[in-house]
Amino acid sequence: MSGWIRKSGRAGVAAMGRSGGGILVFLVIGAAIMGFVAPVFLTIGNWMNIFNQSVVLMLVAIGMTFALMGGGIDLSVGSIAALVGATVAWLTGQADAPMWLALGAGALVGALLGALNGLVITRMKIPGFVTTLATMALLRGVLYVWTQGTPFVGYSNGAFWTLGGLSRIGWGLTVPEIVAAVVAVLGILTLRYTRFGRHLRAVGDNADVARLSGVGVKRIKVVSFVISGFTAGIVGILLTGRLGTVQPNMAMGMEIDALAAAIMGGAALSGGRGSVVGACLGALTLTVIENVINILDIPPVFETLVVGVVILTVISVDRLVSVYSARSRVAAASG
Amino acid sequence: MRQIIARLLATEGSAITVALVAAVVIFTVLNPVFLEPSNLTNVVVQSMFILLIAVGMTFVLASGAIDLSVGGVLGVSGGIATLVLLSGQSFVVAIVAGLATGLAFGVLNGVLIARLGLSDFIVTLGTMSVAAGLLEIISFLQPLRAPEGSMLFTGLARGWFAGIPIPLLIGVPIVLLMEVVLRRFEFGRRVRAVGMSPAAARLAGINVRRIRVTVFAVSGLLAGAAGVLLAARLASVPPQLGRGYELQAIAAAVLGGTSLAGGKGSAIGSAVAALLLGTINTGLQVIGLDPTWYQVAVGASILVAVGFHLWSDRFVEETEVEQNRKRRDSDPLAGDRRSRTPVKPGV
Repeated sequence: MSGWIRKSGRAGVAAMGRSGGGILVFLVIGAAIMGFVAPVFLTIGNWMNIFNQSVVLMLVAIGMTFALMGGGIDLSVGSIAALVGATVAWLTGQADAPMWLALGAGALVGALLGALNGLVITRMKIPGFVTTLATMALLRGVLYVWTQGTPFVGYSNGAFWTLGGLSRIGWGLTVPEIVAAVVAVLGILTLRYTRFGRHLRAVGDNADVARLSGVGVKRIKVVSFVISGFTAGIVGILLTGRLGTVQPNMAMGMEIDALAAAIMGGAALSGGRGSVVGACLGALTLTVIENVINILDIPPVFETLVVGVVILTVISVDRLVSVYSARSRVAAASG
Repeated sequence: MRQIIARLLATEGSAITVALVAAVVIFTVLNPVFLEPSNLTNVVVQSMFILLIAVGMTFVLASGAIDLSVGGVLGVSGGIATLVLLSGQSFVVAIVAGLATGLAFGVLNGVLIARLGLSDFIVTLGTMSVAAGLLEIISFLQPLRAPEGSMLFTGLARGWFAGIPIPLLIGVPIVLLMEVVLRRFEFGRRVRAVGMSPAAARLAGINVRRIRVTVFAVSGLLAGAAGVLLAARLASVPPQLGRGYELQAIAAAVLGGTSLAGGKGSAIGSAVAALLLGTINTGLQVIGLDPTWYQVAVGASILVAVGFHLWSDRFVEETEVEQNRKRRDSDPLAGDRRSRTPVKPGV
């Protein structure tokens, strides 16, 4: 009778071994501990807040996952987000364009910038790291020149507030949450059920073999960067709503957070691996860390150190869990 | 004529040297002040810090890994060195303390990555935050300004010896030593083997784990050295010292010919590339470029530099293919000449 309990237990642990499983364990245990230390952490209000905050990072992390899976890396997502945000703010603020036009233009700019990255990488054969490092600096520079160092203000209104998730619409959700959910679902379906998804993984795993097998490697890589740029653009749009101003250094450093979230979720710098769900969990974890630091009122001077220690702890736990679950799988298979 | 150019460019690291010379020429044309000895010395000394961590990064990249913590480790090592100095110890003890800090972080990285099998990106991201966080805490508790009489310490970075700035006397031998190790020593060959294929390396009997730990230890030690040197030069350590240096170090290494995928690397190439980055940095200031255009210029320069490097690789290869064809036509028994392995696109 207890056999099925043991088997399902083992299956559960085995399932946790998949990408992001360990992070989930860490989150659950961490949340339980935090619940004792500061009960306010476990309130619905706090978690609604956490989700609202985390979806922005989730979006970039999903785009980054696509870039990583194709064997590339996109360091320019922060600059793309900032530039797209500035475009939308300028169009509505200075050019009096209707909202739908500004949003459409913003999304287009994001995709185009991503395509630019992809084309430089595939046509000029410059490695993705250096290319996106250069475009990161270049695009940020363009933004500086455009804004002349002073932030864009005065474009914000109720619509932007809703866009940024500062007010909730239907079902108690915010616009960023809905957008992130849609993108996440699309991402999961694309990776799992489309030919593009399969080809993307092949290209990231071994581009030469993929090419010899007839996969359009260049096209796949460009598309992966278009996706990354597009999601970065969306994030830029959401941020203009959330922040209400466009600072020249907006979204600076976002690429590191996106990479961390994606890699915690199972992607690898070497390509061929990745998980949308994992990336979302990674983004959630990073946001929870921030939230914990806030709630515990840790003095700002300790924040950097705490973040570092927590990151190291999270991946260690993730590794222990996946090792344990791998052993359980072996035991289950042989028992 | 074409052959001569190709032969020149075929030497490892020559393309980046050409880029450096071109940059110096361009900036001098735009403002002759650039070529003044005082300015050139300035450029070289200021590049020294990124140069040191770029060389360490070369080893890490060649082994197929990445080390994001060098910036943070640089900062905290400089901070610890200054702290020790402030507590009354001699400058020798301070230097050793700083170097030991760097080494400790490097070993920590290596152990977490090689023994626990964790992702190098995330681990070094974590240690970067730990190191930077430690520096913030230390400088919060105790402002890190070197005591007045510590001339020996600051002299390390500001002093001259036989007409050469001391940082240069320290940096050049290190770069040359690292290049020799990477190229001719067994250790260097093993590092590159691990980078090319860890599985094959293991089958060949290489202790992949130990190589990985050592590589990160070297990177940490060099970051510590750079931190001590920078702290000496500045005579004070700001709480954010070293932030963002890791990206510059990686950029320098990649520009200098080290591949992100591992298996190949050049310490001299990274050093020259670091000098190039320093030249661009200082040059933009010297020609009085509007700071708003700064980032655009840096981004464009990087693209141009890499584009040139890749063009030169392809130029060399095409010239050799042509040469080999001619040799085969005239003498069917002649072997092919190959000065470098084919460029692998798309990393």
